[in-house]
Amino acid sequence: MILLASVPTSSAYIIGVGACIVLILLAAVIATSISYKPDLTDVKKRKIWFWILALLCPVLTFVIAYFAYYKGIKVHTQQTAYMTAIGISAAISFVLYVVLGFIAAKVSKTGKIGNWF
Amino acid sequence: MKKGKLINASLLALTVLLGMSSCDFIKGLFGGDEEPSFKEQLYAYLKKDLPVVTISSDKYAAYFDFSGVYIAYRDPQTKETFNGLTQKITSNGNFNIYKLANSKITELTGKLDPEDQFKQIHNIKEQNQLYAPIKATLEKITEEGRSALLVTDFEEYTKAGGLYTQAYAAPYFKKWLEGGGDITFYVTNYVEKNLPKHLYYVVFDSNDHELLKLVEQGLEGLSKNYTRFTLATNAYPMSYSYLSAAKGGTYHDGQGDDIVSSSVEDGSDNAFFMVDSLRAESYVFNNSWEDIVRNASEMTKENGAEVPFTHLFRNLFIDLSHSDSYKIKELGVKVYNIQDDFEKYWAYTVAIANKPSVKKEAGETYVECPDVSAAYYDETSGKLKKEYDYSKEPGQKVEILDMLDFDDELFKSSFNKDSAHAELGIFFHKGFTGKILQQENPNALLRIDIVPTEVDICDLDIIDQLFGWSGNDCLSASVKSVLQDMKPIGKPIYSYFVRIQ
Repeated sequence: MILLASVPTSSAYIIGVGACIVLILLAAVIATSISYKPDLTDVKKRKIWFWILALLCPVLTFVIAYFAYYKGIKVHTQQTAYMTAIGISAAISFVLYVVLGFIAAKVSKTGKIGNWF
Repeated sequence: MKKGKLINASLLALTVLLGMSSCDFIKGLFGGDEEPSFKEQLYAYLKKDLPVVTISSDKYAAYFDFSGVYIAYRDPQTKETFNGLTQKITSNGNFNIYKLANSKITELTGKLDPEDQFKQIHNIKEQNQLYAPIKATLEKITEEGRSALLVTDFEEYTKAGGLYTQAYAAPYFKKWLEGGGDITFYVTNYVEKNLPKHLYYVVFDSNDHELLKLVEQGLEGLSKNYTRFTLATNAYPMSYSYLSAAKGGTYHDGQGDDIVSSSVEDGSDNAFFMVDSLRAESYVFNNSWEDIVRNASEMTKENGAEVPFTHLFRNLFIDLSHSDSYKIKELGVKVYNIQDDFEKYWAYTVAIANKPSVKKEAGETYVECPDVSAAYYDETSGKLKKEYDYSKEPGQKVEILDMLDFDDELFKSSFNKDSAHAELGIFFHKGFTGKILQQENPNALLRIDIVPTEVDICDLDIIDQLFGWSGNDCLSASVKSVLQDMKPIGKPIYSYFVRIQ
């Protein structure tokens, strides 16, 4: 796909938010699928998975935005503008993931998700 | 209570929505809500520089001198061309045909079918009259402003019976050219009582050259015993070698993509388009000027660009091989921010097309104005507000300096190779960063004109040969005077209109 018209930098932000939502849901599914252990190792596992996916969040944003849009942009200044948008979006997706995770953990304090924080 | 309020609010919202949609529906039916396209506005803007047509007839005018010019038709070749021309005019049906004789301009009467018209124009008995009012005809042509054909020998007699020797045609020729039109002469030779004279087929036309095309068709394939001379300040044939009809003269890479200015090239109304007959083209760029300059500087061989960037616009060619009136020696480029002037002219166009009417009801007079133009007229007097009267005060045009330059080297080298194919290229002024100092709005509509900066008048001996005859230099003096007074220095021969979105 070649984008010569004004590049929709909004797409980079949408991808960031999308990646964040998908991964937070995935983290929730993983957290619930880990069964309780008497030695409480399950709590650590949930935490580790939460943070692995947190790191994946900006990576996924970058990879999708890069291959879906950035590669198709030929105009130099638009490449620069889009790369900046990807960077900001990746950071936003990470922060949003952590914030959503924190809220979810506090809401279901006693549930499995509560183990995230 | 709450429920009641909710229902009331819903009903209100529904009514508003229905009201809005029905309004839109009605407007849609009459096409009233459609925003005029930029194309439409640009055409109107460019046409303001063409001859103003004051006559309501949409036909062309054709004037035939009936004062003894028929002698010229005795020449078999002239007879052939005159026949071809009159065949075309009478069969076209889109002409008001006039005869010039006895100091009067009279429209042909009779059955007025093509056959009858043709007969009248060729009736030698009718043609053997005196006093063709050529000066009055020229005045009529320039007053009316519509394209016209004049067949005459330009010999005007005074009422005392003498010949006009003063350059009586000059002011009319000048007026026509000042209005943006041009005049094409087909000059033939003939002999009357041992005196060599000329018969002229003269075409007064504007840039679209529709009448000229008809005349050319009428003369196509016939004896060329005439010399063609165009009296014009800007009538140079242009050509292009653009990649496709939807793509303009901006930079394109090896794949045909404009990756410097991101010109919109999808063929839509909001994209690149050309206005052939008005010598202009219009662009919409998706990048700011600063980004365009930045992109351009990236497109170098060192950076691996397959096609290095050289010009903002090129691949436009001008044919200077038979420029009759003037020889262009130097060209330059002028850039203007015309946003204000353009908007003001469009507002004026809308205002003029939708004038208010004064109505009387129960002894009281009031002004009724169409919605579209209500803002432009005074509510009580119904007069056009001063600030919208373009005819009295045009909008602002701000010249932008140090932005673009004309590529003189490219022009001269291509001209020397082939004067019919001289390339016009425009590049960025050295040191231009994309910041336009003379304007607040960096995305304002720009008009980029290619203008002659140095011109020479054509060889005056040719003027004497074509427009002078024994003992009378009234026409050659007219043409010379026009050429001297109308040097087209600074007058655009081609324009680019650029919008940034």
